[in-house]
Amino acid sequence: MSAVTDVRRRGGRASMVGSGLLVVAVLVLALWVPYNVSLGTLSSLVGLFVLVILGTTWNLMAGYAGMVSIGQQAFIGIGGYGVIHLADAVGLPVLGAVVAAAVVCGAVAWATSFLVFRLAGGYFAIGTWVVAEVVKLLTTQVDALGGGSGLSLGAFQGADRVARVATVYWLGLTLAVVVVLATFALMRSRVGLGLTAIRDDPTAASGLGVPVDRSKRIVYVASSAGVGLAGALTALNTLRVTPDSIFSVGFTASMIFVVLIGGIGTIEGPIVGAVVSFVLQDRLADLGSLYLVVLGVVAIVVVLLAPRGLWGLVTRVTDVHLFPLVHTVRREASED
Amino acid sequence: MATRPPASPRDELTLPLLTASDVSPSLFLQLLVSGIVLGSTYALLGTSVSTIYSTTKVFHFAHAFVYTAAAYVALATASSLGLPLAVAIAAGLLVAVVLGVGIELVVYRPMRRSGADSLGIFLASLGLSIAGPNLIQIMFGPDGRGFPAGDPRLFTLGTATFTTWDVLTVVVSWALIGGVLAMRRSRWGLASIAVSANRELASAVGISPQRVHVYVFGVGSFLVGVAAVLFLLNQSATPNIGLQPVLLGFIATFLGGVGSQKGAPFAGLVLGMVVSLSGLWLAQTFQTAVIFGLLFVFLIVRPQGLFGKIAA
Repeated sequence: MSAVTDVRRRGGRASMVGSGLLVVAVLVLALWVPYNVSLGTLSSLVGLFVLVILGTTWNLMAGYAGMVSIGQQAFIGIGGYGVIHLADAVGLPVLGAVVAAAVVCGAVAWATSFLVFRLAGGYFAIGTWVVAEVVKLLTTQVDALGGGSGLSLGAFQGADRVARVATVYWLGLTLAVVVVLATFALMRSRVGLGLTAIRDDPTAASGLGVPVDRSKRIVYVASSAGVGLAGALTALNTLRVTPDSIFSVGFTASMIFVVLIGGIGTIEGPIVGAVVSFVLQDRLADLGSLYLVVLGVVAIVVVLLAPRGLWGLVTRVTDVHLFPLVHTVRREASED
Repeated sequence: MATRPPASPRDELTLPLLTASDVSPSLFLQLLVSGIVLGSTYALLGTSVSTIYSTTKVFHFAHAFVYTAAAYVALATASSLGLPLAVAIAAGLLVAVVLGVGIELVVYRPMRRSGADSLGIFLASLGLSIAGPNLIQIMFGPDGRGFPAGDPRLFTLGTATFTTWDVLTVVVSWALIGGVLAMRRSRWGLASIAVSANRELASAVGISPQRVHVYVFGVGSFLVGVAAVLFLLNQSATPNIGLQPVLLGFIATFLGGVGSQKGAPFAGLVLGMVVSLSGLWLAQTFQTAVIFGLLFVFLIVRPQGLFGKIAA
C-alpha cells in the first residue's frame, strides 16, 4: 500500500548556497572592505546601506501589505532631526540617539496611522504625502530645530575622522542586516502569513480572521521606524540636516526605484535593487540629475519587460530563494 | 526676474497674524479677488485631473511631467527660437497632448495588456514623473526661466488690484471648463461617461475603452498644458513646477467627488477662495496647511467628496 503525502519544504540546495554567498558578502563588507578602501568610498557605501534599508522597508509596506506611500521622507526627516537633537540637545550617546529616533518615528507612524488608514490605494499615497508635508512645515516652525536652516551634528566634534567614518560604516552595515533579517522574521511569522493574505484579498483575509487593521498597523509602524534608522544614518553620515534636503521626496523616489528594479514582494529584490541603484549612482555621480533619469528609465523598462523585477528574472530560471518565504509542496509516494 | 512686474498682487502680500477684529475690508476684497484667480487655476487643474482619473482610474502622476514639458517647450519656442508668443503657446499645448497620449499608448496600455495591476501602473507613472523633470533639468538647467509675455495692465476694483493676466486666467479657465462640461453630451463625452461607469458593459455595447482612454488623456493633457502656460504668464518655470499643481488637481478631484465632472471645478474654486481668504487670519506659510486640513477633514468625514456617490 502506498499513500501520497505532501512534503513541505522551504528553499532547497541552491538556496542554501545562495544564502551562504550572501553571508560571505556581508562578512567581506564587515571585515575586509573597511581596511582596503578609501575613507570616501567607505562613507559612500553608507549610502548603499541606506538604500537597502529604504528599499526593504518600502517593500514591506507596498509589496507585502499593499500600502503605497509616497510620504516616507517624513520619517527620514524625523530620524535625521531626531538623532541630531537627541545626541546634541538631550545628550544621549550616538547609538542610543539612533535607536530613540527610530522609536520616535514608530510613535509618529502609530499616531498618524489612525488618519491615513482611513484611506486606501492612491488616496493613501496622497494622504501620506500630505502628512510628510505637514511634518516638514512644522519642523521649519520650531526654533530649537533650526527653523528653515536646519541643524548640524555636534556629537562627533573632536572625534578622529577615521574613527567616525568607520563607526558610521559599521553601524550602517549592522542596521541594514538587522532590518533585512527583522523583515524576514516578520514575514515568516503569523503576521507575515496574514499580510500575504491581506495583500491578495483584504476582504477574504478579514473573513478568515486575519486582523487586517492591526497587521497593517504593525507593518506601517515597523517600516517607518526602519526608515527612521535610515534617516538617522544619513544625518550621521552627512553631519547636517536641512528641511529641504532631509524631507526630500527624492528619498521616496529612490525607495520606489530600488523596489521596482529589484522586484516588489520579495526580500531579495530590494537588496538587488539597492546594489543596482548604488552602482548607477556611483557611475553617474558626475552627471547630477542624469542619475535619476537613467534610474527612472531603467525602472520603467523593468516594469514593462519584467514586472517582477530583476530578482523575478532570477527566480524564474533558477528557483533560488535567499530568504525562503514560499512553501514548495511536492507530492511523494510513501510506503504505509 | 527683475525686469518683470510683480508676479501678481497676492504674491506681494506679506500677511502678519491678525485677529478677527483687525480684518480690514480692503484686505478682504483683495483676498477675495486673489481667491477667485487662484480658485480658477485650481478648478482648471481639478478638471484636467478628474477628466483622466474618473474614466481611467489611473493615478497619473506623470501629469506633472506633462505640465512641466508644456511650460518648457513654450518657453524654448518663445525665447530660444524667438517665435511669436502664439506659436510658442500652440507648441506647448501640442507637446502636452502628444506627451499625455504618448504615455498612455507607450507605457500604460502595454502594462494593462500584460496584466499589470493598478499599483504597477501607478509606480510607472511615479517613475515618469521623477525621470521626466530631471531630463528637463539636464536640457534647460535648474534655474528659473521667465516667459517674455510683456507687462500686464493693472486694474483696480475699489481697493483691490489685479492684472490682465489674472483676467485672462479666469476667463480662459472657465471657458475651457465650460467646454469640457458641454462636451459631456457629445459622442465622446458620453462614451467616456459609459467607460467610467462600467468598463465591461461599455465595451459590450461597442464602445472601445482603449479609444476613450486616448480621448480623455488628450483632453486632460490639453487642459494641464493650458494651466502651465497660464502659470508662465505670472511666474518663472523651474524643472520641478509640475508636482504641486498636479497634487492640487488630485485634491480638487477628491474634494469634488470622483466621478462628478462638476465636482472638481467647483471644489477647486472653493479651495482657492478658502486658501486665499485664510490669509485674513493666518500667515502665508500656513496656507498650505489649510489645503491639507480641508483634504483630511473631507477624506475622513465625507470620503466620497462633495458630489460623489457613496457606491463609487
